[in-house]
Amino acid sequence: MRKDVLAEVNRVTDEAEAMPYPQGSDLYRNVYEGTHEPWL
Amino acid sequence: VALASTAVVMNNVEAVRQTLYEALESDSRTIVLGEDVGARGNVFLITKGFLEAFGAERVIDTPLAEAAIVGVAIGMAMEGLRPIAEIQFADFIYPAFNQIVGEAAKTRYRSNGDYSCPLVIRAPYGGGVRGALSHSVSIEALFYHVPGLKIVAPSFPADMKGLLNAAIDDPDPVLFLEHKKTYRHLKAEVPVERYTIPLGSADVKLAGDRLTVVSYGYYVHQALAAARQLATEGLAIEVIDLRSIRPMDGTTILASVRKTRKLLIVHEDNSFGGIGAEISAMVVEKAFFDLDAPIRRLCGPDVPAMGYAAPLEEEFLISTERMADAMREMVRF
Repeated sequence: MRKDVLAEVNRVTDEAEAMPYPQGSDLYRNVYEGTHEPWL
Repeated sequence: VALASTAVVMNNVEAVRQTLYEALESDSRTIVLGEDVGARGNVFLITKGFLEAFGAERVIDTPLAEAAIVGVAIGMAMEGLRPIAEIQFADFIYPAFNQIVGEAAKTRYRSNGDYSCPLVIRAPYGGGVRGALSHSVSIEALFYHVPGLKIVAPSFPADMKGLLNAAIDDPDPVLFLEHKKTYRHLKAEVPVERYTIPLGSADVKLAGDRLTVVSYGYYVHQALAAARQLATEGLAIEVIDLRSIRPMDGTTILASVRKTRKLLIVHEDNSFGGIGAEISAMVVEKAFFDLDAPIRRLCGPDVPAMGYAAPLEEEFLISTERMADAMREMVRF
């Protein structure tokens, strides 16, 4: 089980490190308040 | 660094550390409690060596239980001790919300003055240190609305010492916020003797006549840097460090606004329902006809948290350049 967990952790960290950094505009993704207050 | 016999140069960590040490040394009623304040000496090493110096009954390592930390401290305060409770990071204060808002803030009122609650709750807050979602928040607005609570957020070492002493001496609960990014940002002179700075007194850190900028926490340092940029362009900006968020020093703000006729409020916390909203409302109510431009708030975005990735953190935070641009726009209005 220890081996499986280590492999899984290594796989997901490799995957995360291979991904590009988010854009600054991603800060506003999944922010739902703004849709109700377009005047802001 | 010893200067004269009257002042020592230190950073904010050292100012908080020295003030706490002297409080423990001078008053046997003083108790410091919180997560890792004892053996570890606090995560920023503020209380390093305190356990050895004052013992485990006065420097208390607590479980990871913020409601218990504040609840126990309230009991201590009501029974005559002078507890200084630490919330390791402001982000962890939510479990203690009921103790702070429901109990500490109401103690004097509820008991018809029979009990007071001389409690200081210290909490490092704020972002810009790659602290991600759970080590970056600004919590001041959540407590700002609560009568019975005082909230302090100094930016400079001498103010840290004077205001922390005032908070310790205060007979009622004080939330003492320390912006993490100011901890080692700069060193400055701090008087050696014990002194206090009245809670509710702002400080004009830079005098000017073209625009009033009100801020607190780390952004005061950036606002000063931006204002100095504008000074080279011949534009004198007045920068007010709020220091005490509540009580708010409306007198200093209004005097400045009546002189400059323009107001920019800058804070890291998000704008909606924030400190800037209250300052803005106060100025509109008291000095609307003295204004030559709409009040502007330059604040954190209304998003649930500051992300960990550098682009997200940078997007959340306001750069010195953005502050300078906003100041120029306000001056030109």
